[in-house]
Amino acid sequence: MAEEKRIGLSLAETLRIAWKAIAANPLRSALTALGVIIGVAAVVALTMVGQGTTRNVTQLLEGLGTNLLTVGPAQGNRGPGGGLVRAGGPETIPLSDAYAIQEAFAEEVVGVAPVAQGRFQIRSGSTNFQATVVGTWPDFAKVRNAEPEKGSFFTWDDVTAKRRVAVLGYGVAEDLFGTDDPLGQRIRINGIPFTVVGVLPDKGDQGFVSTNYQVFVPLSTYLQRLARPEAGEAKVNTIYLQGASRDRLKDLQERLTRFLAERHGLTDPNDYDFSVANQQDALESVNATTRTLTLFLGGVAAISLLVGGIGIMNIMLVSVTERTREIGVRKALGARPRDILAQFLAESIVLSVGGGTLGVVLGLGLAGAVGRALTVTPVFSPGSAAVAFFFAVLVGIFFGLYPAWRAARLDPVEALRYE
Amino acid sequence: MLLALKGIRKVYRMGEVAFPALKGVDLEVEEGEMLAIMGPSGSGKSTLLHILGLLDRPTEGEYVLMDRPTSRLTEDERAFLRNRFIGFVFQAFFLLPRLSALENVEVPLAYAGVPPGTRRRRALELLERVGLLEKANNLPNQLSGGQRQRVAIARALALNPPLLLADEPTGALDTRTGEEILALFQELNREGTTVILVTHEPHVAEKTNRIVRVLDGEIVADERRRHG
Repeated sequence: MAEEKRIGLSLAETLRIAWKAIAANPLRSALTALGVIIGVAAVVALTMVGQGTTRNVTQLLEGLGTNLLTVGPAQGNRGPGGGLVRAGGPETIPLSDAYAIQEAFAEEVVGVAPVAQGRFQIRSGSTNFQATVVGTWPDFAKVRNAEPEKGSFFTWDDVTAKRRVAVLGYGVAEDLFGTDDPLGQRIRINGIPFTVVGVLPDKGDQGFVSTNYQVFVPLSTYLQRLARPEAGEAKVNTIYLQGASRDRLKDLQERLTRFLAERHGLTDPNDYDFSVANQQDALESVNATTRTLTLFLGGVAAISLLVGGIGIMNIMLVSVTERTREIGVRKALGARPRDILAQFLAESIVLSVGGGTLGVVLGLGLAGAVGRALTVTPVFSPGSAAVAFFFAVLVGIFFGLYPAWRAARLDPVEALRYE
Repeated sequence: MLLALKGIRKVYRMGEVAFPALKGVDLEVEEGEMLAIMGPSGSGKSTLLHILGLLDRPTEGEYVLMDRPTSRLTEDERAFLRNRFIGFVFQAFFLLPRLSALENVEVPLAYAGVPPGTRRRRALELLERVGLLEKANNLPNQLSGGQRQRVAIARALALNPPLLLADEPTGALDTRTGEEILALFQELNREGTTVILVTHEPHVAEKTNRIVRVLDGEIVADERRRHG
């Protein structure tokens, strides 16, 4: 039969009919698509902000230094930063550990920087404010990726001689001296005069790990003049170490832990009064957290898309019932079941594609707004937007199929009789 | 012969109850005939029309349309025959409400796969034929009953079908408009289209040259006459 050659409606035609039906009921169509719009927007915005946050934290962790190990207080007392960077807290690590490590691990550790820090009054001329003052060793520049952009870091000579020299964080230098050259200037820390020998580059405002609002002085000077002298052995807050090799960082971390335990005369890991954090571990833990979070958000978004799909199916079923007469007429005029199927399927696909598109756009806007509120630069990932979009289309097809199938198999006589 | 019904039975089942709508109908219609199927409501005349229009399948018997037995045809093949060989005109017009007069006429052409340009030209021709060219872009609710029925007729004629089926085509129209519509059917019949009307109004049936009377699912009379 010649029937086989019949093309029927073109795709464009089918889409045009679908669009007409959708446009005939703008409010209802918009509400129907809303579920999909919100679902897709949620996926896009959440992944963008999530990835932006991950990138920030990753950059932060990587900017801290290379092959960084941190000796800090015992687990559970590490504060923010996963123990990798310390923002103060009690001084619990004997300074002698730093010397011992330097000696015992000379081959594998290329830099050692013990740190003791506190908040002090900084003053120059009439400007004065509180800032964190860090007493450390010259290796800090290398270990914590803090090479000055002007002048230089203080030297071992300065440490041995307990000189009153200071390296300023970018923000401190700017606040004290504005556009003037800070090098060689005199500042007062807690009233004690120091000479500025270096200024660090801008490290951004990333909270507690930024060096922008820190002042670095020789550890010996710090312990003698700024820290409240306590009886007994000098203690520091943290010891930062730079491993020689990235591959052996984990191994170094373990041997360092054993070494310190032995020095402190401890055998049970539960009693350790220190812990050693590893940059790699911190990165991995960030990544693992992000993966879990992404999966979770993906699940939530998938559920909302599913709900959106059910909304589409609901409205399509209503629409099929409402247009029973139309279906009967179209069948009388020569529409095949597959033409009717295509017509209604096209409608739900147009709804979901439209919803998906609007959802991506809305998601971009939402990510921008949330990003500004959280001061995170959202990272647009075409992959996740595409996945959300195609999932929406899939939802449209899946939930449109049943109503369309019902429409296609309507009995034309019944359909024409329908009031 | 254009079509033949052979021993057509149609039984509607509603749960346990079986209702026989047609109890063995035989009918032959030649090309170029204009006939009226008459009968009171519930006589089975609408069921008969639905079977003739391939909208419904008989429970028993064979319907041969243009030498094609239709009982084993697939849904798609029946759709094809409805599209090409049968034009429908309904009492309540059944225009698609969101489509303009022109677009309504284009619907069967679209399902036939006629390209848009040709389709538009053909639809305008048809609207001109029924005297509604200037209403081409009006929506059905902007047209009078008579105008709607003219659009429906233009739509039925879109693919130049050999058979035109009309279910109470004047039932929703005033007498004068009804006369005009019937005159249009007569004109189409003179040009060669076979027309089958279902009606219960004698003055409508009088315009045809054959009256088939249906009662309780059976043909009780088949009167051939000269042009009325």
